Amino acid sequence: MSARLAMDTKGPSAAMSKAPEIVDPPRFGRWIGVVLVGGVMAWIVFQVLTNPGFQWDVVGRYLLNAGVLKGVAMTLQLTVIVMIVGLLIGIVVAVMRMSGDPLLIFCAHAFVWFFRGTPVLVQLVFWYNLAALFPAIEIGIPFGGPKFFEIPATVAISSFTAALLGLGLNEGAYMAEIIRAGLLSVDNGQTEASKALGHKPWQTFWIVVLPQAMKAIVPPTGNQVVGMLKYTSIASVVALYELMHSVELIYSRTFETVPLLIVAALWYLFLVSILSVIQYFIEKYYSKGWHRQDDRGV
Amino acid sequence: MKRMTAMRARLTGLALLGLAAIGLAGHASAQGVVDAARAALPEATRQSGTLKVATSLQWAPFDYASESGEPVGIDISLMQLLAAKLGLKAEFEDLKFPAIIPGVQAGRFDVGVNQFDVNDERRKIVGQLPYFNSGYGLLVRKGVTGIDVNNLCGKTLALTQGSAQIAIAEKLSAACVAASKPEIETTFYPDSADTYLAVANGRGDGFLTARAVGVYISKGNPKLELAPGALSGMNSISGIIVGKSNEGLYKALLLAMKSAIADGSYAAVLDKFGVADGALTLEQIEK
Repeated sequence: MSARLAMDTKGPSAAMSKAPEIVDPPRFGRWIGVVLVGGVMAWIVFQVLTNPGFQWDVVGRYLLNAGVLKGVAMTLQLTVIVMIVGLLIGIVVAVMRMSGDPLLIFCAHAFVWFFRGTPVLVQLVFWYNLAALFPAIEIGIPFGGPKFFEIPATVAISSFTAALLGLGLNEGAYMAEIIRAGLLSVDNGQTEASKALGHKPWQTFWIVVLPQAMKAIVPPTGNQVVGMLKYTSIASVVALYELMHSVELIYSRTFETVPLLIVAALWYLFLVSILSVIQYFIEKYYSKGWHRQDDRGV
Repeated sequence: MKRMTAMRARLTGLALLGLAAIGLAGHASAQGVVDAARAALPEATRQSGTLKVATSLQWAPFDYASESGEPVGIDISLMQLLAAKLGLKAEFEDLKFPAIIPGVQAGRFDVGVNQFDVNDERRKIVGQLPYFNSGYGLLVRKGVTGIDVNNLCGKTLALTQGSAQIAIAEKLSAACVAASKPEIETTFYPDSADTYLAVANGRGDGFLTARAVGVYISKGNPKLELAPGALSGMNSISGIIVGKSNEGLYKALLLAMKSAIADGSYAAVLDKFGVADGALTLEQIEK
């Protein structure tokens, strides 16, 4: 793009074209920074690659091991399902808390208080061994009414179900708070405007309030997903075969602890990277209309 | 009352065996099954045909996963042996250590194994059937001789940070000082693998470990071997965890164990893992 062409397109401001071209001052500080950071990074990479303690040959041998891949699949599966369950519970509980109905508010409070306040490990072992307290899961009228049917709890609560209940309910309590904060971030005028348009309450929530609240909900939720991905490893306490457990089984046999922990770390990094990309696109979708087109940073 | 139930159990057992003989129950053969032990089993366990075992496969050589992911180890082989004697099939579930005992208490599992020490605290909450005596020994670099396990004064021990062996080494060292001998030197390493590596490379005189573990390590590491002898007065009895109220199963396992000792299959299992010296006598088990 030549200066002349630029002048022609400027039209009325052509008279101003005598003004000198604006040039950014040289950023010496940044260049020094680039050299320093580059040097440090190169040194770290060099150390990591040449230090025999990392045993990269062992890492390479187990990175695509069938057992490890099975663990990766389980970790992903559990993370996705737990987050969906958590999100659904979170929406319900958050709406209950903001409903203004004293009973609903009390129930929501009690739920969040209990599931945020007890260790997940305790919850997992509790769900898994439900049979200790309730030998059978019955459907019927409580307090001694007739039973419609019953299943032994040990059969009903598998490892996966126990993990799902323990992690899902806990995540639901956290998500409820995130969603509540998101809903509070939407100005009250939006609700009023929606009512003025003749929307029913559920339309107001789904069409007007929630989409705007998403802008505040998505980043912390992404954070929760990343946390949950690693937190699923706690489910191995109830015999769930996930990523962390799969490498533990191998190094318990071979004592190659450090390289196998690196295998797990690489997989978690890889999965988190994918999740971050997905989060970026979701954020972009929900922040539509919040940025001026020419507002993008260079 | 108790006799009555035992009687009834025995009758049911006989009835079942009769069925098995006719071939109606799903038992292909009752070979190796100890009838008295099987008769002592709780009705439900016998009917189910499986012995549900809770373990944690992170404790080689007692309980670990083979390369193909199958549970293997001293505890695993022994439970398979006892289950076979009861005419059951052992089914293993791989939990984490803290979840094993609650799982047995809840009745989700029949038994739990993970080289659990037999002690009085556990006796209050679960039944424990002793099956192994683990002494402590010393792993040394191959070819090193002249180390007396019971006289380590002045020697240097390689230890893993945070391990139980630290307390043992301190106790031994204190005894040395009390006997006005030089104290035991110690060097620390972050994890077990590093400690083995250090000893294999000639750093420190040896590594204190449960003898069974020592045998396993020396098999996998050509540079290490277990010095002869065990630390005197340092025994720990391991037991199978059984539900507190599950007396029938306890009795059945005891009878199966009795038979395994008598026919040598118990000794054979321990021998397979090179830990025959950890075998218990029948008197020790019945205690």
